[in-house]
Amino acid sequence: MSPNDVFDLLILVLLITCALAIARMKDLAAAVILFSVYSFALCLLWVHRGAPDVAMTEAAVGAGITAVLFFYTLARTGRREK
Amino acid sequence: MRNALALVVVIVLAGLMMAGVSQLPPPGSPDGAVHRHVAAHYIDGGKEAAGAPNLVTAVLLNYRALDTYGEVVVIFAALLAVLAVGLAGHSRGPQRGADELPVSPVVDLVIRLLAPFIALFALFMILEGHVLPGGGFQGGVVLGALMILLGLVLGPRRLRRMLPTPALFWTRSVALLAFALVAVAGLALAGWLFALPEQYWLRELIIVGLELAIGIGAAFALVGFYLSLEADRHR
Amino acid sequence: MSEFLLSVAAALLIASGCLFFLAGTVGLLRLPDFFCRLHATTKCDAVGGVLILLGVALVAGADGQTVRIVALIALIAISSPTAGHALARAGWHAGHRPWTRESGEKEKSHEPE
Repeated sequence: MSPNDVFDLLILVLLITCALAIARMKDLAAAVILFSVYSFALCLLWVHRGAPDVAMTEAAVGAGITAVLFFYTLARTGRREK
Repeated sequence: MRNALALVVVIVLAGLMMAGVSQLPPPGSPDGAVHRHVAAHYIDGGKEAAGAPNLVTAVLLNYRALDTYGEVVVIFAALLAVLAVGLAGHSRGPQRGADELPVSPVVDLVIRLLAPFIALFALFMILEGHVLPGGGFQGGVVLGALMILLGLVLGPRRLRRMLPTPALFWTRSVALLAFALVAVAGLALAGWLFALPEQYWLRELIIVGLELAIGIGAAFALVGFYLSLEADRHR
Repeated sequence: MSEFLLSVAAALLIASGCLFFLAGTVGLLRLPDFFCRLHATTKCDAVGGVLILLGVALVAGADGQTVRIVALIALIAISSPTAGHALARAGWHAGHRPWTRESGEKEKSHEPE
């Protein structure tokens, strides 16, 4: 296994951990922040796999704007999962 | 019982997927089906045929332009849905809530300092997208993020005052209109949708124009989401 | 020889940057209130990130990359403290008050959990 593959593997483990944590999280604000972390890890993976176009979109949309929009939605609906 | 059933379903699905994935050619292998089909043709002639040295852009805006058109329509439809939901209740528009703070002088100064650089970077991404990684949508999202940032820091009312309603109307629909225009012009002049003219500089100009239209459309769609959510918060 | 010294310096910079990130993360998890945690985590970006980027710039040498790294350092040096300031201000206006030993004791006696 080359160092490149190790890097990919670490990021994939991080992605799966984040996804499970988002699904289990009762505090939705924390889930939104974890979703940003997920997007940013995915962005790193895209860059590492040679897809900078997708990585830019992922960083700007996934890690940036969706978090803001989700927070506005949470302000209307409430922060806790029922 | 239900949990056990879900576990079985997940295991079966995961097994099927892994069986499928194990049959895939290794990534980057030249014998893969994707590399023997049309990819070689795109790599050989993509720059001349599509007017874009960056092959990702060539595929997005020319070979698969109809797909990209569909994506533009999806974003526009999402914006329409959000605006329709916003219109359903009577909105009083963004106004000063009791919880709103005056702008911090530090944040105000820094945002004034950084905003031109962010705007320049967004424009660079849009205009250079046909040569370098990046492109209309990415640059447009950065531009939209900048405007949302300005709205968050300076208050949505000041952002809304900077964007007159007729301008919002045209900027939101410009991507859709530009794509329709290029598609129909290609059909009329050369006989198929998204056909590009003979001259290379004209091809490049059309690609850059499309990128600019996508960028502006994406930016103002995102600002539309933000403004309608913000107006909704005060209802 | 000088190349060796350069890579040692870069490694030291990157390692100390990582140390700041570690300390900031531990602080985020262990410190008692909003302001202390903010104080810890702002060091991650502003100091740790800048140190790591300096180390990377040393490895890159006199190159076009280094100009971009310096621009990144300038961006972080401006934006990260501003974000910390904005967070602290928003936290104060949202009703958070700095933790003191007395308020901590009071909380403990009020909540016997």
